[in-house]
Amino acid sequence: MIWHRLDRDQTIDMIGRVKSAAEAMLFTPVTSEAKCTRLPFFNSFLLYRLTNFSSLPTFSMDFISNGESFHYMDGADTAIRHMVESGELVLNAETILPYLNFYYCYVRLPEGEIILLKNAAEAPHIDLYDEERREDLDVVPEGVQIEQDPTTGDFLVLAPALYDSSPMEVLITVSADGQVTTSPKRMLTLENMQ
Amino acid sequence: MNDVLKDFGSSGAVQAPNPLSHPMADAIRAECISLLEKTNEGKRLLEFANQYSIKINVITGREPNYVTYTRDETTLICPAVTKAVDLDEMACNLAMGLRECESGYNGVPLTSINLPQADKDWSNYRKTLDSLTVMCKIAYEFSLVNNNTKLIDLVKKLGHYKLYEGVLSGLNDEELGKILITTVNETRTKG
Repeated sequence: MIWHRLDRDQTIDMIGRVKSAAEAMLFTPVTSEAKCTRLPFFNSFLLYRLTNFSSLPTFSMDFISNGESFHYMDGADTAIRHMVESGELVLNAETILPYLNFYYCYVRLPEGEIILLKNAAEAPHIDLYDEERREDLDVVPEGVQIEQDPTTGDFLVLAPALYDSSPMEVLITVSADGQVTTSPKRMLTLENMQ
Repeated sequence: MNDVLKDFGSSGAVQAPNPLSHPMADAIRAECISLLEKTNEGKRLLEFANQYSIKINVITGREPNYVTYTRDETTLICPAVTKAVDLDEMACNLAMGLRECESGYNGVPLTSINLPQADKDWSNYRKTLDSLTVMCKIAYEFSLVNNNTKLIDLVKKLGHYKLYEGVLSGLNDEELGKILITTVNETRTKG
């Protein structure tokens, strides 16, 4: 992701707008930095990150926002649902993979963590600390198959993923309103990836 | 079934007036305290928390975590959708947060950008060692209470199994510190 740092006035403005969220001395303009990045699957809303550098490790909160209303990414899909209701979500062949990468990164699922893999061989190299990899929205899995059901508009994506800590081939259904369902199909090994 | 598990899984949490407030904050706090009370290290930290009236906040966030900005309060971070959240892990986070408060009362300054670099490095090292040592103790005690190795497996996954072995074999802080530094350096080299 390419981040754009907000200047001091913009940062103060953002903290003011998320003040209730930023209470309990979590964020102050002096010790915080705000930045934003474009998300290809939203029309005008951006991803904003507010980071407090006053303690180590640093502490961040992410929001989806148009600069005025801020929707906190709290592990639920509530903010995405707001975007769908506002007509912000754009799903097509170009945006479906970034959307899935984003969804799996930001929405806490009953199945546990899911990460789309570049290939099965990548699975053992993703460790718990690798936030940068988790936040890479541009990952395109090798051999990924994407189809769209012409009647429902649903996208069907067959791709390798880290699922329940194992490399699996998963079938992902993404409805036109952004709902994601993930079904494991088979365990992957280096052999059956080739 | 406890109050937390009963409601775990309700997708899309009810939006509270403060978007940061966790809708199940009271239940999560109570469950974590209840779990820690089953362990010696947890009981010790809860007694410290009672003695110094440490405030325990619970807010929503993407990943289970904790943050401690002052020695008088620690903040648990829990995803709004709690179905996939492991309560033992949350309780362990609470223990680590309380340990950071305790470290503050023991004279370790909270790591801050305002500290001189040398103090910042020492504070960060001390805080990390203290909280990871607590994590290892809690993981061990939970393994006895629950008869499973779930948290020990997490300690392994985090790369701190050598530290865990050191804590269990009674190594002193200096020896544990050497293990921690070696582990961190190995992780950086791999990265």
